[in-house]
Amino acid sequence: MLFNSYEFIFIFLPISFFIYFYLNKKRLTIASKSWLIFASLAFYSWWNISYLPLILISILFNYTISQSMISYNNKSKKIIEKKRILQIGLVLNIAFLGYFKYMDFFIENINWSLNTNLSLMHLALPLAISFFTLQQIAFLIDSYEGLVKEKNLLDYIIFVTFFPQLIAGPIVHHQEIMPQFASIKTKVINYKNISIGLFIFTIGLFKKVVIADTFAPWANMGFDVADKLNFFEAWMTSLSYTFQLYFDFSGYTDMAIGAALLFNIKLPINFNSPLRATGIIDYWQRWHITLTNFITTYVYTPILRSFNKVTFLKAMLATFIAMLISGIWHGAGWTFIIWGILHGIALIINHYWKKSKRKINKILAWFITFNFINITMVIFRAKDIDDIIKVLTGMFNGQIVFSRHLYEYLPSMHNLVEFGPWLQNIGGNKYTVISLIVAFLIVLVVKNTIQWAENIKFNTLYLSSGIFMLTLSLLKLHKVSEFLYFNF
Amino acid sequence: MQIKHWVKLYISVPIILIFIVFTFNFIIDPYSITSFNLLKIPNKFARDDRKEKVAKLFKEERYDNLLLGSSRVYSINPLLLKKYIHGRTYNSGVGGALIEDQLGFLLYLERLKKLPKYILFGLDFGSFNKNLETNKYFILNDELNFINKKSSNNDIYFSRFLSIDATRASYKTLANFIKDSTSKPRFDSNGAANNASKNFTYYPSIIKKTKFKEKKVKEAFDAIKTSNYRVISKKRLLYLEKIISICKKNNIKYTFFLTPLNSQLISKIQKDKEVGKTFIQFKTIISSITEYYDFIRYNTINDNRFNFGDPKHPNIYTGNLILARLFNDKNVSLPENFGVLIPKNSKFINIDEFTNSKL
Repeated sequence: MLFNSYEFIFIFLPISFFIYFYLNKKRLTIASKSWLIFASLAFYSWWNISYLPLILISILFNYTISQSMISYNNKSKKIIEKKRILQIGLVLNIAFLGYFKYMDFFIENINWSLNTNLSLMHLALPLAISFFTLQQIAFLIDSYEGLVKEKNLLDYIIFVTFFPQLIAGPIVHHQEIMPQFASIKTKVINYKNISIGLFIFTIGLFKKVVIADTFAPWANMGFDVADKLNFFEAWMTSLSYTFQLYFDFSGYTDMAIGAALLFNIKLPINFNSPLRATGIIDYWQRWHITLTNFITTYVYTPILRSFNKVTFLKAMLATFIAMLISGIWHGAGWTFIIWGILHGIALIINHYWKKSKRKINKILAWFITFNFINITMVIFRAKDIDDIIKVLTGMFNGQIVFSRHLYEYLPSMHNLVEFGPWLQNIGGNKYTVISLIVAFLIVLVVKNTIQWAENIKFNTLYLSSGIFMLTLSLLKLHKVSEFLYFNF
Repeated sequence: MQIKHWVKLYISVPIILIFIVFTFNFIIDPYSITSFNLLKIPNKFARDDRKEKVAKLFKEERYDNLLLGSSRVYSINPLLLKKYIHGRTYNSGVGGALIEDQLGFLLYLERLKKLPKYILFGLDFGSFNKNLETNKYFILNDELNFINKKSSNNDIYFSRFLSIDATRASYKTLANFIKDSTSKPRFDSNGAANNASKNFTYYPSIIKKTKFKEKKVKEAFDAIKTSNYRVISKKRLLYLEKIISICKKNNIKYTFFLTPLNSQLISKIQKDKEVGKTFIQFKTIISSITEYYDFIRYNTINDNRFNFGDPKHPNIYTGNLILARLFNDKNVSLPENFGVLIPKNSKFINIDEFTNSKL
């Protein structure tokens, strides 16, 4: 089920909410938790029920592994066995993810490198597999480290399946979520949380259906006809995708945070105006923050720990590997690997720059960072390397075509550039340009969702703006479109 | 304001607004989804032909005969077609339609299980241009758009009653109705524009006393020329093949015809080496896929500017004559080279011969 659908907003969410709090009011705590699990699994199965056994198997397996490790915590002599259990858990989780997500990519590369002709498996990617596997890997590692005290299966299932964060994050840590479900405060209706939750949800819905979906056709058409793009079309394509992805993913996250808050659960923030970043380090502290935290805690830090002595060079090597893994996590393809490598290199350059204590003008720093992000988004979005080359060729060596409306105003340019349908290949028009300007203003000038929510005032202005955004978004819901991060 | 009160307003006001919008659109029903027409509005204004025609096909029972094509088949009278071939007939032509629209309609009807028994397809010369992008309204239309599958269908009722587009269409419908309650619909109940369904007159008994201006020929040619029409789109040829395979699979009888162009425009196309060459290729390639009736030829009907709304759009009289030719109506006198049946795998003459001679 999609957050941006009538069935979620008008049926699923109200029913889940009222029954959950009704059961809590009657002090039926186990029943209320069971209801939330049932609702979350129904939410997951709505998409494709055939994936339900997979997520259930994954949950039960990881719970069993973690409980085995927890039972060892007081028996220090058996540390080797405990480590082995962790290794089994990690290997099977990675194998589970690898089988569904990377098998065809692996076979394709075997075929290519060994000139074989092995058949592809064409496995459908189970929804949310990348997200729930990561969360559970973190849980296993923490169980091994002795940081997990929880033993309740229901709590564990809620932690993994809680519907607002199940499909595409934010990637939550058990220490953030499980204590909240245990708290008595979460069991009573809290109007302040409801009001803030509704407001955040509205902003997210607006970002998705009004802004991101507006950019989607231009981005899609641009990448579909990558070999034909002129200079402006290529830039409009890449910028459209950058904004589409940002508003789509941050919109999804806002909706997740807002929906969770209705149940008195505070999910971690995932975006903090990332397109205002003035460096790549800054960018990764603002973009998909929960993934950055996961990679830092469970990939980067263990790599660093594995070195006898930490040097700048070794830290940079760990950074590079972490970003490479981040790229691979996003998808099975060379484009994602290249994207991860480029971000790894950019982070190293940024760290080196910081270490050398050189100064750079802030606007210039933003300009460089934004363009790097925008260009690497082309790599992230492209189907293959050919597409990357085509779009980048358009961006840096494309024919310059001006709108025919400018013909009479630019007589000196008549012999230098072509005048004609300048955005035809991406189905663009003057609204494409206006939309990009508005998007730039939103990401650079306007407060972000968290800032709005922190400063919320229960007055007419907030009320009317929320109602306007919600009504407008509801009128655009007939065109259901998936979230981009459902593919990852 | 108290938080509880704020929350109640926050939830209830959008629900009330949505309900009002839904009711307004339901009463006006700009795409004629329901059969109520409470305000007895004759002219339902749809902003996009596709939406209106899709809504009609969705609502109505299966048609026996369909016309598919662009605005150039608007003027073909479905009732006249019905006279020739019998059964319920509808003109599904939509402005700016390319071959993907025709395939989109077919796939949509297949999903609805409403495929007709017979389809008359109008093919436009310009619409097979590789450089011509898929129509924006096709992309935005969830029912027809089989290319961009990411955009999935929601219930048609939502988009026709609960959307900004529907609200705009309702508003315009109401505004037009208030201004002129007697105005005629853009499309009649048979899907034909310009009252085509009501006109059964054959050329040359009555001729509409208007002809398009000379400069329109240049404009029409410039539009072809500036789109750099050198290559026939392989993708669109595949769509054409797919259309034929769907028809064969479902035992649908079909006829293809090339929609007529005014002779002055044909002449301009001929004289241009690049476009002229493409024109020859076009006729040959289409013939490699299917037989068709070729109406893009010099003849007394295409010569006459009175017979066209503009150099690319035949008017209702010409539309009627097309049907007379296709169904070999002996009561109508027609020049021989108006609608010539081109058998499958015909080869056309080369460009040099072509530019120096009349077809």
